Amino acid sequence: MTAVLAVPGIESNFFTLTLFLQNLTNALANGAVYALMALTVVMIYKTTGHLNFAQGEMAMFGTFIVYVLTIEQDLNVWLAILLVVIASMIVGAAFERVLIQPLESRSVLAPVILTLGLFFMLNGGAATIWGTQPHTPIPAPFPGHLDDKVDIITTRLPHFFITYKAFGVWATVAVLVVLLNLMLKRTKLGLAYRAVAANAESSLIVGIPVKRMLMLGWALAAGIGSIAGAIIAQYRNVLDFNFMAAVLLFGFAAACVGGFDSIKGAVVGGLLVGLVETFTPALFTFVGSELSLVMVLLVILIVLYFRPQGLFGSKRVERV
Amino acid sequence: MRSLPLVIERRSTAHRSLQLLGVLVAFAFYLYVVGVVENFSAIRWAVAVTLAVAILGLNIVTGYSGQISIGHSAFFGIGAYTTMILIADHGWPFLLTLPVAGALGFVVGAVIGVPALRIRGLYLSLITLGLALAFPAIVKSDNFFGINFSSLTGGSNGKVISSGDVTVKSGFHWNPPSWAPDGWTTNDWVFTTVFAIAIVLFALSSNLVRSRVGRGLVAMRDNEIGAAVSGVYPAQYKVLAFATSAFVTAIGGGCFALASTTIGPDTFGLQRSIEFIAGLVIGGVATILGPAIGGGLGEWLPYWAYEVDWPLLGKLEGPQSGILYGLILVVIIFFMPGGIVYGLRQLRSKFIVFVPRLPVPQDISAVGAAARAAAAGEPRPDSIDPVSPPPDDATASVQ
Repeated sequence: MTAVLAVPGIESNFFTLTLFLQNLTNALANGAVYALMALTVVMIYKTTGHLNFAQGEMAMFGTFIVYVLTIEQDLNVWLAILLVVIASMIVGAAFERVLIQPLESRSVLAPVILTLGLFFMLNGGAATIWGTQPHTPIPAPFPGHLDDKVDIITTRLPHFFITYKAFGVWATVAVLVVLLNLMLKRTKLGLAYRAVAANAESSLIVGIPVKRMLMLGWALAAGIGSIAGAIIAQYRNVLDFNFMAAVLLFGFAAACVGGFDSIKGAVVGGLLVGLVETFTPALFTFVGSELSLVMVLLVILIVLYFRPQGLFGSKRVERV
Repeated sequence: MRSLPLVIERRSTAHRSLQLLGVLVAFAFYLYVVGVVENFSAIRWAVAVTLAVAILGLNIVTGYSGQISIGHSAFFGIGAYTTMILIADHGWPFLLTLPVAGALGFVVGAVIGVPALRIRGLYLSLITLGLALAFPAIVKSDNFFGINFSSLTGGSNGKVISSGDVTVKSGFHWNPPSWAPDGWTTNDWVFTTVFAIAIVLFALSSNLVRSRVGRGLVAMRDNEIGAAVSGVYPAQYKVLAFATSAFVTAIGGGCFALASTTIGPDTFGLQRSIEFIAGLVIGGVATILGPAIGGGLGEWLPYWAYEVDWPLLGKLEGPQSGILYGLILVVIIFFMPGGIVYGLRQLRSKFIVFVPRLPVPQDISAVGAAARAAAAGEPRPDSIDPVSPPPDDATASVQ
């Protein structure tokens, strides 16, 4: 028996058990998607201190190539994703080396503006090559039919179930985080990357190839981004030239909440942003469901106001 | 014959006449649009001018205080919707709507700027990215904290000002006044209006950046800690700069509503914001002419993108023109950092060089004598003649 609450401004059926659980799993699955994008933000920010505004468009472009390989060329989805991840890592490293590095010494703004230029080129490029209409069918890394789900509570209405797609997103985040941690904590490459993140100048003195580590950051971000793009396209069931713009903002928000230089923060931040996005319209009658972007903007503002370094980020200290 | 480059002292007659020539060129451009170009293009130029005003606003924050805002499309939209709603639903005269549009932009800019600008780094760009993406959603929203915005703004359908439309309460025509020359169309009059407003805003902004506030902003951009030590309070200056910038861009938006007569939520999306930044960077960051070039580009580049059959790309429509923007932006960043205006300046410096006017040398002993005389409580001489020898008693007191 569910208690009927009649508090003004509160959605009365919010506390219906199965509906609540359904919202919760949706929120956590969306949040995991944002965590993926937040990971890409963190990988670049840790070493270079930049935000790459073209990150979402790079992922979008990669997803279109996965689309071409699987739907048009009939390749296995995971093989296609693997190929695209390798290709995008090379392209990401090349972007850093050719476009960003020459601008490093000029000003803080130049690399950021350049990523905006990249945004425009990739966005317009995809619109030119693949048109502005949404594409179907969307490549499906996970079983995505309507009945591909685990029923948990079917005795009440609405039913509570978890789709295989949601499990897929969670599994991807878990695997990526474990792999990233292994790489960063157990390999020499990871040690060098962390050294550059901690102090680039000292790393240079002890012989670490700093510039290559910056390229590595971009390569990792591009690779993770391509996986994220393919998964988000299926999870959201949309593939067009604009589908990543809003997702990138959620990713930035997640990184901002968790701390721009923390992998753990990216995951926790992603899940928190997912919860806010789903629960504020579900709980309050005065928040329309189309306002998730506004709620996330509010979250960024609140975090920046009270804890600018994020939940797990390290405070930037500056020597004068 | 003197060899090039020609050296001209600033504020000399030659410099002033060159500046006058610049004003005449602007006036000639105005006469060209009103008198020569066809009616349809006149309105396109009017839209270009409104975009230039928007970029002028962005320039205050990105050019002079060194912060990137990706959210100026939202301020542009706030201005446009304010003007549109006041004209279409409340029958206000156009010019009265602009202060309201500007004030709304200023307030929203300050509210957004306070938390974003307390912290250094790229946070402003992050928050403004959110603003750019959220603005169309808010405009379309029918339940924004209980407010039904879509009934106010027309939602996804957008809003129109014209007397023929049934949704409009009062017919609105920005017709040329009776004293206008014969043969002026509405479009000519619209262009005249926005051009005049733009001239005023460009002049004000040019004065602003040369004032104490402007110098403070530039000092803060170049070395924030140094500026803070010298008495430029960073947070206050940054928020003020950001709000002022939003104010100017919102007025540009109000003019845009007049010039385009139709607006919709997606006119003011992320794409528009990045167009502003691209226009500013391509035209010339931290210059007064840069935004003007950027505005022209903002209106005419999508047009050329569609008119020209580009090699490999074909005709580019709508968002596809972004590919050209991106290309030009990247090329400019690498080969002409500072934008077209800096490129032109370098070209000009091959022919004409401006040097600052040196102060007239003064006889220091005379100044010293006057100071000593003042210190001794004697009445200060009315004027110091730098040539005449100092009075005898002053020299005597030194010995």
